[in-house]
Amino acid sequence: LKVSVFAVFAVVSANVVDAFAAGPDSTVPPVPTSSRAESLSAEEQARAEQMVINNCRACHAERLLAQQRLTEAQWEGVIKKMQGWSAPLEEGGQRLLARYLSRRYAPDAPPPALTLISALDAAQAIARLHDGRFGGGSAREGRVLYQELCQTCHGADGKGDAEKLGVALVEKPVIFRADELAEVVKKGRGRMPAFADLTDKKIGALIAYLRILKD
Amino acid sequence: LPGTASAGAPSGNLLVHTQQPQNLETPLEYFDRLTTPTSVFFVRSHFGPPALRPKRSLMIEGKSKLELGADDLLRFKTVKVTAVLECAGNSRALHLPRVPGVQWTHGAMGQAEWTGVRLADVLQKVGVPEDAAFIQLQGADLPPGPKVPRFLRGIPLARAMDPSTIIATKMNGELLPHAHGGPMRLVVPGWTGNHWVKWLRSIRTQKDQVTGFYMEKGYRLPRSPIAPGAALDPADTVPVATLATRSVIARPSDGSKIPPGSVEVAGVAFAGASAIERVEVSMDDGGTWTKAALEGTPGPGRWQVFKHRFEISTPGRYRAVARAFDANGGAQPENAAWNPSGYLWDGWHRVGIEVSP
Repeated sequence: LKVSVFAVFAVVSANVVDAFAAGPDSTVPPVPTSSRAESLSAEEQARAEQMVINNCRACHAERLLAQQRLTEAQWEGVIKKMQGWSAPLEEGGQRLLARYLSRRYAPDAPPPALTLISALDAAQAIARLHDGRFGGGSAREGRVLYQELCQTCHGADGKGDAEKLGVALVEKPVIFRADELAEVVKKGRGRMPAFADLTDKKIGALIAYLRILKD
Repeated sequence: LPGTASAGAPSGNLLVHTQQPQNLETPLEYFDRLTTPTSVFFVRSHFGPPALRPKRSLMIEGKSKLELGADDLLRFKTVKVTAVLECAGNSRALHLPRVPGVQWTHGAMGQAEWTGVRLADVLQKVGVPEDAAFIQLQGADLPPGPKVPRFLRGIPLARAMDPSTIIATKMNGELLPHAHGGPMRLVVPGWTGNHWVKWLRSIRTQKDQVTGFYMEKGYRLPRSPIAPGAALDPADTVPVATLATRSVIARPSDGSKIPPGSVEVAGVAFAGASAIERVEVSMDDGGTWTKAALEGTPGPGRWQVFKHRFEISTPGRYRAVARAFDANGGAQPENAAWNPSGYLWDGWHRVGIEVSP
């Protein structure tokens, strides 16, 4: 997950919006002085990066963070809103996170280039996939597994947990994309631990149970 | 693939803001035509789509209740509406100072032919209570956690009963794709995309306006203009509703090199509350203006294509600009009014080109 964000800043960025523009369409704002404040120590940076993975990335793609390029004060406002919506940050975490985000995705940096996706890939990314080896699971068995392994973080009703930050699973596309769900279960993601030893049959049972949960 | 619901293999490319959830933008080159192909039509998501369930039903609540699947809508009269769908935050990236949110350039918009049934017909079937003044719309997309508010939208009853407001099941003649709210979404011509609720689950009449984050805090504009970057008291805001009058240039593309000769400036123009009256184009950065030719049927919430050919014999750098005027006397402003959420950007679109042999 430690992919450098600078990899997504392509040199062609100025072409994203009017390259010749010097008038109202110009997208490079003046550099706010707040973004030039003291930098973070290696320890602070590591803590902030972990906060991003454990909190922001539960719901948001890194690209969304990268394209914001907000000032520290603006980030503080965004983080406050997100804390109200969950994001259980450590004590004092919001100040450090705002400092980090406003430097990592600096207001005076060019906008990240927009990449292209084919219309076919975009449609397939949210389509149902065949269940394959995860098909035909027992929802009854899945319910027991869910209560044992998942509900602490994803909630008894599958609608997520504000403190543990397990995301809602009810009626999400991933319940019809067995391979993707299985990969997350086996490898873990963000705060979520890996359940590497869970068999295909058990994952199939979990999927069968998730599909009968009501929104 | 079951349920992708688009006939034939989709073709073309979209610009990626985020993939999870999908926030995909239509490239500018497609804005030279009346209909935006479904495959490259922009996709905006708050929480991402719900699980794909083509048989998802819709509960209508007025004096009585009625549960409808997309097939049940065949009992009502089928209507077709051609209308622009534009995200309220389209062109947000151009607001300065910058504001939080998906940094759309100009591609969070498109025009399609929507097929469905009039919301008024469905509401009349269940009966509209005498004291009803609003309707509440809810989609099947769930937030990621229990403290994140659901996306709810309310619109005045009068707008709901307008004959152009429909529950759509088709887009450009094909079943409404999952990414665009299938099996059923609302179409509210002339109003911003946040009212066009996707994956409709329930529609109900009520006496009071809908409450909640997306009505009371999100999707609001300053009641009167404020200075860029200024703080805004929530009490001085109103809900965003009607689309702004604007035009966007599809070609030439910004930064392109063109040989001397004929250069066609082409794009689309639309307004929310009325038809487009005329579009003017300039090749000298707004020094002199010429009326462009318009194609398509004029109407509120519909876009028309504008085209004009300039003859350029002298090499050099030029700036093409377009500005739209609506039938209510409104004009596209040179600079958009800044607001803290970056809605309804409507400034002149300027495109730089280099003419060289």
